[in-house]
Amino acid sequence: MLFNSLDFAIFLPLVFVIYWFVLGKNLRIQNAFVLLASYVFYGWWDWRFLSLLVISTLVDYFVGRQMLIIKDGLKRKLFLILSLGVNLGMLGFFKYYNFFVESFTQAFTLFGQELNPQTLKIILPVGISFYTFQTLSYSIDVYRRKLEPTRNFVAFSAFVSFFPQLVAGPIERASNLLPQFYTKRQFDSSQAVDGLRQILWGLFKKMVIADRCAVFANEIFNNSSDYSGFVLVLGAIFFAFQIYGDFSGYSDIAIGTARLFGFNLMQNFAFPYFSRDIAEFWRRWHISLSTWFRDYVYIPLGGSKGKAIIVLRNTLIVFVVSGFWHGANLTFIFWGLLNAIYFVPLLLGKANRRHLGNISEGRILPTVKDAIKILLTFSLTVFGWIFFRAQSINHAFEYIGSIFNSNFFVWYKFDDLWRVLLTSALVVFFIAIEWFGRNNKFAIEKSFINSKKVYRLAFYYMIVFLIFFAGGMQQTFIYFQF
Amino acid sequence: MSKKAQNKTILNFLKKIVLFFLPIALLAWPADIFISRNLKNSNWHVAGEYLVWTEIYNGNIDVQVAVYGSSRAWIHFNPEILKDSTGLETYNFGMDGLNFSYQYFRHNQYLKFNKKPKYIIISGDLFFFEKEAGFYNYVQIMPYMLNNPDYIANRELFAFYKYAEYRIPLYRYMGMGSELIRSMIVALGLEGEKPYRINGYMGQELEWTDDFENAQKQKKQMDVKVDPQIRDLFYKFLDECLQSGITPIIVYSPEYYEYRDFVSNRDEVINTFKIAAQKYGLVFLDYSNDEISFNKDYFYNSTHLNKKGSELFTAKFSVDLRNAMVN
Repeated sequence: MLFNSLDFAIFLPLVFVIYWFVLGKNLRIQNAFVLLASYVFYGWWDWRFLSLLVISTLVDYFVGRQMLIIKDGLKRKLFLILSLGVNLGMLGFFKYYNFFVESFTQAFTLFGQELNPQTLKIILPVGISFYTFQTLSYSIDVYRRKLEPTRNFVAFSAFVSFFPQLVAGPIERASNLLPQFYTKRQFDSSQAVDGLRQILWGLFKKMVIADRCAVFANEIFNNSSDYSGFVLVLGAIFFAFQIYGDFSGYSDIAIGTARLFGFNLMQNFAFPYFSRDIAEFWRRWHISLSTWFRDYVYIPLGGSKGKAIIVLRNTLIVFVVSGFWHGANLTFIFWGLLNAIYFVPLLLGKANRRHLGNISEGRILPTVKDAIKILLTFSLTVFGWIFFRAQSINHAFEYIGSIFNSNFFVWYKFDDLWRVLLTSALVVFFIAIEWFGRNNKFAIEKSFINSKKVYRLAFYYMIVFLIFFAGGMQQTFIYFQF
Repeated sequence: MSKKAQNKTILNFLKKIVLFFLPIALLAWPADIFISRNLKNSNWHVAGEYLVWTEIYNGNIDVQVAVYGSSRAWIHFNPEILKDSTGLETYNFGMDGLNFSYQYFRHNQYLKFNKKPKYIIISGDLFFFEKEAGFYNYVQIMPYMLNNPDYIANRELFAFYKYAEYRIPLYRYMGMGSELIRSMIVALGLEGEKPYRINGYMGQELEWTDDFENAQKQKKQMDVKVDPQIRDLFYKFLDECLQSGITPIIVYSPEYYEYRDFVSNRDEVINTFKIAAQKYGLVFLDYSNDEISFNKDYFYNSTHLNKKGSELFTAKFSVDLRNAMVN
């Protein structure tokens, strides 16, 4: 079920009313209902893949219980390996099987050996990368004795499949989300209104910014050989806003929806395009995944302790694995590698934690120095997105090569120039709103909050109007494919 | 907080939401009427398709000759020339980029609201029997489809739309800012009174473009599919016409001769028209080898005549049509 669909617009109020009015008294039944609603939400897309969700839930619940009973370190480790094996095995099979088979075949071909690969027509189950990582965090934390394993199977199942963030995150930690299923939730009106505000902004990001930018990004990337350098740069910028609007929009809707039910999810994006260097960008972009890799890969590898070469190795591993997490394509690995290359000089120069505070605190506009840093970081990010969006590494290099050819400034005659201009104007409006709300959890959290009600309502109606009439053609959320 | 107090808080919250959305819900219906009414009156939008639909639904079409087909129909057959030559009033119902399934739907709507014609000219093209990948110019039915049983019954044809879009006011206009802007332009009288199509026809004052050369660069040849379901629908249509006293005449208007080799199974499509004509004892006029087909000056691309070409063709065709009527 898509957040920006009529199905969800019916599903959400229905679940809300039953959850609070009918089942509000009994926590266990309320949790069971969340579980049921989550399975309906997921099964709406393809009920067959609910089995994977159930397997992941059963295995990790069982592993957690066993780790509670067993004191022997080796046996505990074996149970952790079981959890890792099942979750990563499912992920590996559904997401990476064909990639590995094809890569091996190509490698053998290079050495003159012909192989007949047995690739399979595999459908990638929506959200598998997200819920497997979420449930793995539980097993690992239990193994590390950082988390008490749960005895409450329903609460655990609801934690794994919690519908607002099931298919595209934020990837919650068991230590944050699971305890929220143990305690009775009280309806908080101001929190719910705040949640609605965040949903509204998420829908705007997705339907107006991402879906409109997608039209041009798709056209330009799919026919890159037809366009001049200037248009190709424009295409990459459109994609940068598409992916940001799409993914952070989804996160906003997820967080806002969770708040309607009395849950608090972690912030997943913190205005990443205003970052002043790449290290700051990675603290602000897809925070739930970055911190997951930090806690479960980077730190166990030794983190930033030890010799420079070890730190370098750890950083490279994390970025490459993070790239690979996004999909079975060399483009994602290269994108991860490129970001590691951006990041390493900051790390080695111990400048990676230079920008921890708010951006241009107390200022309406950034200082010239900050503005240059923001632009530079944004440019590097956009350059990286070319690899992320391209169909192959070759395509990415051809795209970049075409940017720097002689006819850079040749303007392409778009059939609907006014659409390009309108989309650009909406992106500018979006940047402005994000800039003025950059110190909040989401951009419109406090917009017009101290103004007269009429202005506040006018602002919300304007957003609704834009979502309704200025939205692009409905597109699936990009991160569903990951 | 007690259960009762919590329920009261939730009710207040829900009340706020309802009050927020109430104006939107109340405005949806009049907004739908505003947009739909003005789009129906648009002379220009969607290559004049609204104009044709509106004339159909207004029941104003009282002609003896109707022309059906795709863009090749509405660009090639000039009703005025046909009228001058045959003395028969003519209307062109050509639909941009759509196969016979859509033309058949329009045919039924036309007969439902207007007097039936004596003759129907079926303008053939190579995509006539091919299943559509999508519903081209999908916005053209928007002002007419809300709670319209004919459209709802043919939902499979207009697969672009969800069921709710036939039922909920304004919902189908979501993301259709250009339709909103167009409706405002029409409402403010800024569109101009001169219609894009006259009696469904619009000659294209264009010279040869490099579209065909570009297509050739992309691929040497292409093939089209003759879908058996659409072919059978065509037979059904011919049968229905004959039953109700309408004479169908199948015409294949000129296309630039080099294009023939571009479509590998062109003969299969032409033969399908021939077989249909033989089966029902109809006239089939094929202009594939007419001298117009060999002169680039009469075309703006490989399948479409320009205004000069279409006027010349209609003049020639009207003579043949007269003869066909006599026989």
